[in-house]
Amino acid sequence: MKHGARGVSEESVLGKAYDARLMRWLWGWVRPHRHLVGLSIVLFVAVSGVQLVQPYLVMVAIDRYMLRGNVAGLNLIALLFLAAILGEFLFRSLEIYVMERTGQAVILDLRRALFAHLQRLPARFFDRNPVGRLVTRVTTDVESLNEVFASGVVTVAGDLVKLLGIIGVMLWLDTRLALVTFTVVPVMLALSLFFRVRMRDAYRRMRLCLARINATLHEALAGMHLVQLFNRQDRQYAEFEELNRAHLAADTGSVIYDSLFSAVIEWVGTLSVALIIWYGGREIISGAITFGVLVAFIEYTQRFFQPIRELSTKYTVMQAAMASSERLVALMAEQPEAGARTDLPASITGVTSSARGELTFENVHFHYQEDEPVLNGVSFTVEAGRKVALVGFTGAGKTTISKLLVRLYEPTAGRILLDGVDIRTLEPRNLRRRMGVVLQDSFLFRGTIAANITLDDPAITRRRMEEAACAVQADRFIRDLSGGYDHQVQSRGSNLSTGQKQLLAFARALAFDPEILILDEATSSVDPVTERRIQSALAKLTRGRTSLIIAHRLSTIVSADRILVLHQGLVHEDGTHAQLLARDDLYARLYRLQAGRESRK
Amino acid sequence: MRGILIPLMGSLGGMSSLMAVWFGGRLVAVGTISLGDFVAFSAYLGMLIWPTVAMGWVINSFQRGRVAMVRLQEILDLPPETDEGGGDMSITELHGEIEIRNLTVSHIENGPPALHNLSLRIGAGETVALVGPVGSGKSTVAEILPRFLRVPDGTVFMDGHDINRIPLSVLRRHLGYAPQEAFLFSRSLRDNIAFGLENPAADEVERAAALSGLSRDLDGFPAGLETLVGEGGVTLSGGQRQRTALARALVRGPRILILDDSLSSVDSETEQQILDGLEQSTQRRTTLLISHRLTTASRADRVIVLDAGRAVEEGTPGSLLAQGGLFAEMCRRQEVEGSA
Ligand SMILES: Nc1ncnc2c1ncn2[C@@H]1O[C@H](COP(=O)(O)OP(=O)(O)OP(=O)(O)O)[C@@H](O)[C@H]1O
Ligand SMILES: Nc1ncnc2c1ncn2[C@@H]1O[C@H](COP(=O)(O)OP(=O)(O)OP(=O)(O)O)[C@@H](O)[C@H]1O
Ligand SMILES: [Mg+2]
Ligand SMILES: [Mg+2]
Repeated sequence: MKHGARGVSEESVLGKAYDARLMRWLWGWVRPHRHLVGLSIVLFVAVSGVQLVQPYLVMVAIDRYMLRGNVAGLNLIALLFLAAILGEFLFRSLEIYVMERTGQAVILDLRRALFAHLQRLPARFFDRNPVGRLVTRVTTDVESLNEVFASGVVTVAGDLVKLLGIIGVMLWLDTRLALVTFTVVPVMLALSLFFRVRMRDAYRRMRLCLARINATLHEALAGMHLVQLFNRQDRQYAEFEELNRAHLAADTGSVIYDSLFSAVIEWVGTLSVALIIWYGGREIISGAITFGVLVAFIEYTQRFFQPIRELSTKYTVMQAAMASSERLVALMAEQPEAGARTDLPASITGVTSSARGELTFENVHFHYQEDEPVLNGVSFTVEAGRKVALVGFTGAGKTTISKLLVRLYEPTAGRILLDGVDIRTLEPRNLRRRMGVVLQDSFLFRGTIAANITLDDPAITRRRMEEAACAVQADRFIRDLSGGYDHQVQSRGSNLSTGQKQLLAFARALAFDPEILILDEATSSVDPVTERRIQSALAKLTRGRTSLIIAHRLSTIVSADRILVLHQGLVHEDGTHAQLLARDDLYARLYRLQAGRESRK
Repeated sequence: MRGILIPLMGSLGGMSSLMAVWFGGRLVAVGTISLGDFVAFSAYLGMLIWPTVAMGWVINSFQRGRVAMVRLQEILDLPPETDEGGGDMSITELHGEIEIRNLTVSHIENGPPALHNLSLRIGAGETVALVGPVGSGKSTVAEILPRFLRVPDGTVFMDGHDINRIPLSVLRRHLGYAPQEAFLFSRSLRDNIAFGLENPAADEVERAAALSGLSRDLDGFPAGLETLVGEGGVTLSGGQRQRTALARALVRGPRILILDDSLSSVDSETEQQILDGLEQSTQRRTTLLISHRLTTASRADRVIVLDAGRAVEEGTPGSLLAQGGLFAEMCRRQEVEGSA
């Protein structure tokens, strides 16, 4: 499959709720904040404690004071009760606060790490992965991990402690009544299991639909003008609608199961109360238990069902978190860009040239896709300080060469030398600092014109920025903008003309004062008069600088010292303008076409 | 909010039990009510808690909903570009005659105009080149035709109809527009080219691809037309992307073809082949050709030179060259011999 290899997995799997490998990974992120997690578990146990005391106090109130007419004792119980309530409120608030803080802290770390990692991934990765999907990773997936904390999954251990506590108290109060009450537990577990599976499936479908909706929406919005232009609104809407309907169906499914589940659990709870009254009532009559015990039992059972009900919610959250972790782990495992390689000889022996900025391609082979070679052994040298032009048919691989030079991709065979040094042995950062590249597609950020030129690099003075803008003739239009250099550029530069954007991108490359200049169609959207002016300004500015100029318009390259013609993955012609004309091959053909010499009409 | 609401919910329940025990218990103790009354009372009180707390939840989510609603409303309130009130449904076919009369228009309200008092006429079937310096307003003229940019009534006409009265879908159906910046969708090349077709026939797509000079590139792709394009077109070369966008415009067999510098990343040989192919194809169409390459512009029947939003020169390429104005200067600048 040509560019078909699609990268990171789509949100298709929502597997286990527990996976040791993923848990370890997650724990790695939680670990730095483990003291917070510990604190919240302690708080949770405290909450459970003060909660468990409450029914017991009611029991004591009934048995010791109400039935014996002791009003003073009642006041004491009321005070204790008040303390328990206040304690519950306090611990609970603290617990939730600590828990959410932990979640936020973990998420912050994770987002930072993800973004830093994304910034280090190679160009190849971004060829394969649509922006929409990556955005989903950094937002939705990370958010679903946050849910783990917000929904209190971490305190599942606390929940279990609480359940055991309740069971213990009930058994202690009255073993037989407790056992009778517990007969509903198997029913409860069976029902939970039954619903859990169905809820999980519905939930899985829902997430899948949501991810698709996001991806579709992202692209449809980015290309909205085309959708409108080609009257595709109806079909685009239908596509969106289909996803929306699927989402609705999945959502409805999960809501139905959710509400059925709640109702059934409620019903089982009521059933257990009935059991208590039926069996406990007889025991009261027979004097085996007191009235207060019965009331306390009723209260305890209610508290008993709550964590069980919540367990199933937490289970789903956990499942989602595992699925998200799975995808995040995959993303984090993507190989970052290679740094400076030490396993290669740093320089070819003895020929380390003292000159600055000599570029050499040595038998370079390259392909993006296995079965589709782009370069088949390209060799050439650009002597330091020389200006070399690269021409060739569209799709010949010119842009590829400029990308290889700055190590956005690496040759599959052969090597590229800078001053005799294999560029793979250089730190990409240092390599790129020496090169100023104007890419074929200019990209502007939201911000001022000035910030777009300097990229907010404090090392670039206002004066240098303006000089760069003047050299590329951008100052002419910038002056006419309201605010001049402080004019706001909208995202992607949508409020500028294409040529204006190109000039700014060009100015950016110049402002960084690079040793080597690589211009990939840097003036393809610029009119000839402006282009000529840029050339004369550049001639002064870039004297003595190595430059590689890629252009289809031969007027762009007239000042080059040498011209290379790239054809079928090889350097097909190499020489000065006059030499190549004399050769009367591809270059000569292109030249005649542009000079308007070819007969037409 | 959650941090307070949930504990509050719990404590409210506790409070009710407290009241029941303290106050109700007293009544039981002095014999005013029975123990049964007390239990029933507590249970009822317990039931009251939920609705009270739920009210809090509801109010809370309602407030959040309102914030979201305001934001949604902002989008929904934006006037859509429809034909409401203005569309003349009797217009169903266009022949491709374009006229612009004294048009002054700007991209932002009350902003500096991108076009000043512009007038021009393009006859049906004519090929007119639009040239001019960076930012002179060429793309702005192109954007007006599919009504991406709103113009005042009575300034732009097609076949004599005010453009604002032509139903949008009719207008756009007749346009083949290859924008200056080619954006492709992450689908196959075939789906990208057939983007504007209801029921794409295989040979239609192939013909458009061939006409756009893509044949040789497709031969190099093992998957041919089924090759998947990376998002926005990142896995194609600049020229391949532009030609795919051109094929997408051509496949509809448009009455009006707008090429906004859409071969700027294509070498001259391929470009000439494409333009030759377009000229030879039997279909009659009006072509608006925007280009910075003057050999290309010179192929047009007529050239209009824009400068700072005004039409400064107009005529056949030959006559403009003889006239010695901006067009002639641009041509001279692009001469390759100059400093070779
Ligand atoms: N990211 C990519 N993934 C896969 N294939 C790619 C990628 N980028 C380019 N290609 C393919 O590599 C070949 C060379 O592309 P390149 O961009 O180097 O051409 P070019 O000479 O710059 O062409 P143009 O003049 O049209 O800009 C093309 O066939 C293109 O489809
Ligand atoms: N969306 C926009 N908002 C504000 N101003 C804009 C917008 N689009 C273009 N402009 C401005 O309008 C003027 C004309 O732009 P236009 O894109 O028509 O130029 P152009 O002739 O196509 O230039 P180029 O040769 O660079 O493509 C420019 O000054 C530009 O900055
Ligand atoms: Mg290129
Ligand atoms: Mg333009």
